[in-house]
Amino acid sequence: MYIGKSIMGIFLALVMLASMSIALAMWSETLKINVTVNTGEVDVAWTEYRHNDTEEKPGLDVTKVYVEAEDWDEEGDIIKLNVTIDNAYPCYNVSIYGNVSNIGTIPVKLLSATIKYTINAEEQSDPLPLDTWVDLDLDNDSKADINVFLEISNDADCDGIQIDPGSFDVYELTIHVKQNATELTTYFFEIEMVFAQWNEV
Amino acid sequence: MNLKKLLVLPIFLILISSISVALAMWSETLKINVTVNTGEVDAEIVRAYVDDDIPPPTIKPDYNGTPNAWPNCTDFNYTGEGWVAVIKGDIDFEELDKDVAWAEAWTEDTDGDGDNDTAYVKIHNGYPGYMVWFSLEVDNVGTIPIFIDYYIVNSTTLTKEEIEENNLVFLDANGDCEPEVLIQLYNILGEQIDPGQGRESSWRIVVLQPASENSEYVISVKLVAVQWNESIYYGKK
Repeated sequence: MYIGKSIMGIFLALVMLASMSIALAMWSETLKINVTVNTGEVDVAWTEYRHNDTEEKPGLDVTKVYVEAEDWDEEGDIIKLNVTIDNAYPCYNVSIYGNVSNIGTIPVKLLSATIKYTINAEEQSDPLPLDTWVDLDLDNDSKADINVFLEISNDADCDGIQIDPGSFDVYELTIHVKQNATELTTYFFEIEMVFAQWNEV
Repeated sequence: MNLKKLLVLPIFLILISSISVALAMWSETLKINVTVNTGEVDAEIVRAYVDDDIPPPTIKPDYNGTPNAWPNCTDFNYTGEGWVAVIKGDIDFEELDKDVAWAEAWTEDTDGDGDNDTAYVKIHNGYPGYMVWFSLEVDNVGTIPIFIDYYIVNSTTLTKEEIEENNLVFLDANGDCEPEVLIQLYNILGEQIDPGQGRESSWRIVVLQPASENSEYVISVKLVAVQWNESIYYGKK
């Protein structure tokens, strides 16, 4: 009696094992996707720069203008220009032209332009919108001494403030000495232009 | 209570993720430093002199001057520094046979900037008819080109055109239409003077018949120098 039950149990166990083997033997194939993301680079630089002082002389050359590179990034690209205007006088104006080249791989747009200067040892910051004269009272006498105007003088791709990789826009910064500027005085300010990836501006 | 906790958590996560997006915007900054050094408009009377600057007796006789025109009462305007009439005319002059009067000229730095800005002429022992030539040299000692835009004679402003038309300036100290002193201006207005350059001008001064004995008459002539690009003469030929 007990021997018969044991034989039945063994038999059933073998049948179950056999059916499991059939299930394990089902054919299959696995597909995979490897993903590599190589990010690009937002990178701009001043590539060319000049001024028009020698082009628009009103009969006499008494004012000297110097534009030179002042700072470079780790890759050796120019990121800061230094402009010096010597012997200026009321009504004098000069335009500084700088090529902003997109040397990265992502299109960029001008995000912001800001004028920075110091009054009584405190840093001041004013927005510098495109195509707008901005007055600067750099000696804090409540009268503007200088005003500046920023514009795109050559939009190489006709796409406004966007600069595609490999392309450039020429920005023109006009500096005008106003009537309230005083003799034998030094006025200093800094323009900061931030270019950001085009799809988030 | 549990529902509120469940709502707060996703809102917090959304906020965190939006900040991350903002921080992740790639950008690059370019800068321009600008320094503007202004120049200086500065003119100086570098020399002032008269032709009769040695006290008599000398071998150089005096000159007698007579204007060939005389102002009417209507020609005079009160300026705060006496009455002034500017009319057209010239001065006839002749050499006299005696040396009686003499004059001296000097300059001063009245504003203390290191440059002589004022010239003085003083006639000693003058008499009606006595005439003296007064010359001055004006240099541009600044860094910006200038024009002399105006003469201001006893508070009367005169331009180049006015002086070319009428250059006899009669000064009447007491308002009786009888001028005591005459000055004939010559023009250095409207000429550009570049830094380091200068101009010279010679004027005639005549003591007129109505002048009183033992009196002092003061003539002040100011030259107004203006940066060339804002001069009234800029661009005119």
